[in-house]
Amino acid sequence: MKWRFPVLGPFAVLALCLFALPIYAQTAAVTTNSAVPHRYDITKEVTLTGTVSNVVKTPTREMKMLPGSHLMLATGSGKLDASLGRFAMRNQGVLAITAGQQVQVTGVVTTVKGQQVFVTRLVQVNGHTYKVRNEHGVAVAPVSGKSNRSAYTNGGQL
Amino acid sequence: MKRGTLLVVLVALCVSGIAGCGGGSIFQPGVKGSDFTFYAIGEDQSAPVYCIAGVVSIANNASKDGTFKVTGGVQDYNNGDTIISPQPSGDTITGGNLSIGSNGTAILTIITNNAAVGVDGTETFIAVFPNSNHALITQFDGSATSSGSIDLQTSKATPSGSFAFTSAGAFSTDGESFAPAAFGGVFTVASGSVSGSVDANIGGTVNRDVAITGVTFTKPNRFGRGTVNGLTSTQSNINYYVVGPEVVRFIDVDSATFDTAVGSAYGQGPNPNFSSGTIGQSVFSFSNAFTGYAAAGQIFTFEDEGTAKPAAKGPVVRDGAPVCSGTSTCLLDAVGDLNELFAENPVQLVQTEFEGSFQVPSNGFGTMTFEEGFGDTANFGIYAVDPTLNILDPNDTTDTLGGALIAEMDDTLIGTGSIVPQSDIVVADFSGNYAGGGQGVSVQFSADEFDFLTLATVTEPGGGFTGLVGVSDPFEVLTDSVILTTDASFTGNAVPSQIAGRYDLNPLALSAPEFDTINMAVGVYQASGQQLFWVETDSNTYFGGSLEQFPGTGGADAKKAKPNATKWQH
Repeated sequence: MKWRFPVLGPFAVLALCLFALPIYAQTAAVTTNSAVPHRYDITKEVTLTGTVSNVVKTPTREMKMLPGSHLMLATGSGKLDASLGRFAMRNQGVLAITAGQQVQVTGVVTTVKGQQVFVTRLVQVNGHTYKVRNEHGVAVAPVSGKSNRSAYTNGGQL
Repeated sequence: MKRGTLLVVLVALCVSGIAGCGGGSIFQPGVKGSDFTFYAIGEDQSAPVYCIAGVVSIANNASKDGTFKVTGGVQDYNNGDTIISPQPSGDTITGGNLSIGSNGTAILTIITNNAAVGVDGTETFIAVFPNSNHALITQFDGSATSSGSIDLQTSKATPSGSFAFTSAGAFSTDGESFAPAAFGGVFTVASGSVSGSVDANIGGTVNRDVAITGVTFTKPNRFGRGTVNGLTSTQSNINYYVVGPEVVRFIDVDSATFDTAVGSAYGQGPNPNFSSGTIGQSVFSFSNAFTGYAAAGQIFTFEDEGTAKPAAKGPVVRDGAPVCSGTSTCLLDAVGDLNELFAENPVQLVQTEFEGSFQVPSNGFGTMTFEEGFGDTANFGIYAVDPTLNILDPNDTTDTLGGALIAEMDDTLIGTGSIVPQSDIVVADFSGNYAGGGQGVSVQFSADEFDFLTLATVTEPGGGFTGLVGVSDPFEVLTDSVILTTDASFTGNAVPSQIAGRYDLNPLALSAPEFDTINMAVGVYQASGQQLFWVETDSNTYFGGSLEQFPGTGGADAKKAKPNATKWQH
């Protein structure tokens, strides 16, 4: 056992003895997972233009794609999986994108689980630019435009 | 339910051994009614985050239909976008009722004068009362889904003294898009004047230790609702609702800005004098549904003597390491479960070891750092609370007391949570009846929020885990249809893992007539038999939340615990 408490250790040992049944062999082992944090590096941003070959609004598990919506693009340098994040399809302009349209995406190329992904921050289509992530790579959701909060004053503070 | 009084109901709970008898019920004979302070945060049909807080007055005598009338109250609702309660009045609560069963499950209906909230102005919440003064709540009317709590209001006075606080929500810095936001800090109130320090994380832009000056609290009204004036932005406007002398809920009600947030402030005791030693062996949890992540785990703390280098392999706890003390930096060894479902590199970690350090000065405004190894998590603010306060259940003065609030201050993770002392990891004490809740997100059908409450029974030996479950899934997240049901159930086994104090609930099977069984991989961390934290670590769904024991039903009293009633109160 890797986790030991000086005072409560005996209870832990007792617990393990009492419940040393086969089913407990199924419990997950202690891991020292060192998943490397991914940081969105805005200095590595590039802007690419491509033709939409497919719009994936909700990828299935079998697709092994990042959660959230995606644009599959055909670019001059090949196919591109442009991850749009969780809230992009709340933008009516993004939601309306269909196969065959030309779009411009701004973001960072990264590799996730062996697959190259374009982490998109901005989507430009039909002359409009839609922000789907912020400068930190955090997925953002659009303000509805139906709000009567017209007196925007640079955000409140708590 | 037969007509009677809430006192009768609670006596029934007590006698049946389902609910605790202690804690000083407010439902006393001769009392016309009682006020409860509530809050919740979640997602509504218009915006990724909405916040709600208020006070609801509930009659003591049952109506002919067996329910207890809502006789009044006031609330604030803010989704940062299309809906905000009018200010300064807020929404007037004009009616409704509480239907509460002898097993502690309940449905609370609140009728307001604001047709924009709930369904034509009426909000419905499901609730589970582990005791008479406190319940977990989830909005359950399809207009929104959320998690929060409702607590007996024991004071209506202006807050006074030193407090630690955290809050979370959604802020817009450009008027076009929302990003998650988290705040934490400490402040002192003297005659209504406030001073202190705050850490802020708005969409990954972090500002630490910003001074709070020139802020005042107005005197609360008859419902214990007051206003916070003088915040840095002239458009900022926050209302507060008193729970008790040391606990206050806050809600951002800016009507001009695209902001929403809700949070809590907890007293730091009459003479705050914290140290790094304030944080001992503990259980932590933090989450944020907008960011899309949750974590829970436990830490062991010890003095940084400069020689206690982390071992590359082997035990995470150093034998003989001196106990942490003083206000300088201390070290921690930790193990935790984490689900960063929406990270740039999604991470699901199960009982994963990592290390870190922390420091708590005398005012309780500290910092904590996780070294690499626990996903993207790294930097936190720590805000120590009164060692006599139960953070989850502020009217409970008997268990799981003290600890600290925490807020994550990383550029890709924005969330809030708590650290509470780990005082009891005896397996047999994780038994009895529990009120539990979870807030999560799934990517199976749509990337939105779902919430649930459960009235669960854990039996020892064996760790059998069964429960009634109310599921709020208005966004078709768990299945491809809207699910609003109180007929769901949990079955599983809480299996002690290699890490003492941790359990696997894998699978935790969620079943209901409306959908096929959903198996979830869940890790549980035991702060005490009375309070535990759980997190789901599946690759397409997560939730984070807590389990709170019904007093008198666990450990040596477990034999008194009755199995769950078969139905949620309607």
